[in-house]
Amino acid sequence: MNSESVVITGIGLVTPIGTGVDDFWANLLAGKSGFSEVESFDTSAYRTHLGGEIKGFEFDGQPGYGRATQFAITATRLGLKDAGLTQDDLDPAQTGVVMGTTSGEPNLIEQFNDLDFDNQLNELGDVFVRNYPSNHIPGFVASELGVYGAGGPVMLPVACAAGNCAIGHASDLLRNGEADLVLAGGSDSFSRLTYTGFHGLLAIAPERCQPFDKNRHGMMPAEGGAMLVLERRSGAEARGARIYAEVAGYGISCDAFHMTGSDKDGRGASRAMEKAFEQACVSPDEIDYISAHGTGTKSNDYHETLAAKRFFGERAYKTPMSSIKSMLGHTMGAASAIEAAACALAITNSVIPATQNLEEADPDCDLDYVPNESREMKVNVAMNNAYAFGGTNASLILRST
Amino acid sequence: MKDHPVITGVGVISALGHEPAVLSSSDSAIQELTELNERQLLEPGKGAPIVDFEPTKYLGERNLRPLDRAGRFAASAAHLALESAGWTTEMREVEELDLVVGTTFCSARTIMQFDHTTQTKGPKFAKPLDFANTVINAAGGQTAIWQKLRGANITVSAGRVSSIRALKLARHQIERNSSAATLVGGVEELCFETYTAFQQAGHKSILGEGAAFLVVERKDDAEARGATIHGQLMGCGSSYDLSRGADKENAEARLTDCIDAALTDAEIEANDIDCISCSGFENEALDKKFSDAVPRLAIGEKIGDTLGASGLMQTIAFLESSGQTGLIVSQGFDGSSAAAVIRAAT
Repeated sequence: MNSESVVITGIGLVTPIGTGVDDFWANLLAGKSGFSEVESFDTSAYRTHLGGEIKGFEFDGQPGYGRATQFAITATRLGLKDAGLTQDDLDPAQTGVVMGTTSGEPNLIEQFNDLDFDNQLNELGDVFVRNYPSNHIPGFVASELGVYGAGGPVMLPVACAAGNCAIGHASDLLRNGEADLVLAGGSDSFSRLTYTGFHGLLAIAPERCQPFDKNRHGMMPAEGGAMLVLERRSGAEARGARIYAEVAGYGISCDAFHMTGSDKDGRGASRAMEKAFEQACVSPDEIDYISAHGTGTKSNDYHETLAAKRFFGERAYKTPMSSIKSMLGHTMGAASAIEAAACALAITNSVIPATQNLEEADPDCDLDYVPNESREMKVNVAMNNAYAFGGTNASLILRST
Repeated sequence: MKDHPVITGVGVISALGHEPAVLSSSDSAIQELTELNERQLLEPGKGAPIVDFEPTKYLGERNLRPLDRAGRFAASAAHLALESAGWTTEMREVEELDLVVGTTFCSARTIMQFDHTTQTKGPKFAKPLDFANTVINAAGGQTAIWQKLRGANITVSAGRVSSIRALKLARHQIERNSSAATLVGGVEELCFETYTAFQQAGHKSILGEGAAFLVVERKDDAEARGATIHGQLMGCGSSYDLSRGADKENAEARLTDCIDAALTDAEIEANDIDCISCSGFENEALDKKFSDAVPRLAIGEKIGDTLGASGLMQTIAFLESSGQTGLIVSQGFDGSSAAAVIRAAT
């Protein structure tokens, strides 16, 4: 494997707090909330009614794509533009697409069931087979761009850790020389299915998402898409690209404990961090900032704090760790890709986004979560952590160049 | 010289049975179907459901309620592969094993039924236990829990070629020294919903279901622990047809590219291949590249198109054949193609 470093040269984002990197970053630092009344389905039978829907999103493209695909294509276009690239600049055989998701296009599940309910399944046609399998999302991105490198587009549906897994795998493809440029990211759309699931787990906050707060009541389901442009450093420098950060390393582990809960002692999450630092050849003492998974549930925030202490020891108390889910909500398969983008922006701009809505400290969550106000500070090494249903833990390390 | 990883364990849950040898049988599990999941099909047709499967035989006399059908297939086939490889539970407590699972839909029925319950009865009736299995990586998560796999856990979705792409990614993990060994598999379930969707889309596939898993590890490590070596992964390749099958010439060209990539990666020529294990949708490209004398296995003709599991079903079918240097190849209905070159153990 090539030891040349892999860098991020473009960022494309579609999020509840802004579309495009400039809007997103400005709103993130301003502490803007992306939560509002759910409009895409009737929540009158639910205990909660808020979510992170992207209101007013209009897709500029051919009809027929599912919403997650629309986010992915839009984020791709924005990412390429941010990288100073057009479609014509891409070598089709040397450009890859790697994405993550939790549910793919769940609205198609709803469509199937709606037809079934009305005894009209004989009108289904090919829309389900053509659009529902989650690998169609990177496939449509690839087809839009006319690219087929790195062995073809691939979907890594690793739920809430999917974005980190996609970015990590993309960096491997580049180091292996299987592509010269890889678009890596994640996408998920708001859905009745996902909202109902978290509602049944009593995991949705009624009003606000308050990661690490003593009175936190849960997470906020949301939607979004992110696409990062990754290249080998030599290629980026040769074309005079602006470089946000280096993808220094990643690590993945599995708790092998419970489908929706973390292992009790943070061992699995700690192991993912350890692997990431090993690959990055960076000492944990060099960490400047941690982007937390920070969903706002009692369990996640407690166990994540435990894992950080287990791995970093005393250093954990000196390292700022914030959760931008406090503003965006949980964008599922897009989350860790969006959060990786936030880490890259923190490195470039020397500003750490805050954890919003943090009003009362929890004695069990006693680290520095950057409460309520973004903080100016030099960030050379940032870690992005993500923990998924199924027990997958994925840690990504970004480094300034 | 490349260090090609070896296959030390094999496990399969299929409509023909649950040991690798069944995939070399001349029997067929394809049958006429008029119903699935106790529902009348819109149009009767053919399929290959698994009718004889007792998961407690592989997972123990335990409460299997958390596992749905796809999860039971995957966890059981994984158990068989690990057992076949000699990776005991005690060893897995100490060493980390990675898990890479390929699937198209994973728990299609669970996902559909969860939303169906929400729609017809209301959110309060949708069970949290079922929600955990609605994520596409559910089978991977459940397999890791039931088989104590604490290394990397990655699900790959690439339609019909999912498990061959999973094999390719598993090799990446081995090259990264990610863990002591990688369990790689594919899983798919056949249900009323997926059958109906494919039928309504006019697809010609006769669908099947099941799970196929391999244990893959570095050759030196396998030999050091005295493991039985079933075969060696010599090369991988994959490609993508931008027309997504609409342009036949382009589709064939991309499939040929994929095969060439696998052969190049394996550092062999086409005439070194003495057996081809295909999904059945690649014949024209194969006819142009390989002699008629090279036998072709098409396990899908006996167990149905197992979609995300099919690539590794094809791999196991090859390992059970008399072939020495096999090409495992598959082309999906979405434009994806993938291939692997496997050398059987002598």
